[in-house]
Amino acid sequence: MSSAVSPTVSATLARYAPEAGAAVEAMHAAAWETIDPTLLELCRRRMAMLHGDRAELARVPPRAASAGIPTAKLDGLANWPGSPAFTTAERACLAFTELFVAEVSGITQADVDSVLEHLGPAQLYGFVTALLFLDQQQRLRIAFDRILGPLEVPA
Amino acid sequence: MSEERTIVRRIPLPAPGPEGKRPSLAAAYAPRLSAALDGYQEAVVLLKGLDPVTTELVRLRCARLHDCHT
Repeated sequence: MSSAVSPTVSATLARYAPEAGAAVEAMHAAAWETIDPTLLELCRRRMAMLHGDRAELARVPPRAASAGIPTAKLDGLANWPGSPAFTTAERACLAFTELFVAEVSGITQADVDSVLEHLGPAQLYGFVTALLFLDQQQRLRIAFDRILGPLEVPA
Repeated sequence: MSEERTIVRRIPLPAPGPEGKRPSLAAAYAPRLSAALDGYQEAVVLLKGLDPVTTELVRLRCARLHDCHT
């Protein structure tokens, strides 16, 4: 089964920091096996849009591929506030994700409460931890690309 | 001072266990994810590419940018 981690990140860490690479693989496996894959994929893609990470938008992690996310949602993600395709829970999580990427210290109690209306405390805690993993990976991928240049990734 | 009085509660805290002790948020709410994060952080601090002083300066600078006081 292919990895939930970006091939660029996997290959770079395997080359320069294999111990950290194994830990990153474990983090992403845990995230995709713990959090609803449709919700996580929508947030992962929205995060990639905000980071301008076209490589992340072009790939689909295995659990997301098997989740069967409707095309209307994927197509409407760039303009999700105006799209009827998204549930209220997805809207709350997408708004939270945007804050997480743009200014994590600016998240307020109201932002937390809007997600808590749909996810319980444990799910919210897991969701935020998974957001950290996704955000970190996308920033790593972009940084590796800028610092090391395009890496030859084994197919 | 009790835990409840020293922190701002953004999400409900886990219920205390049979001995009256409240488990950590990580242990109660996301044990697998938290264990994976711990494993990553342990692996990162053992990396040899950057000396400990520079590593700590970078960590503190990142915390300041994120307005993180922990």
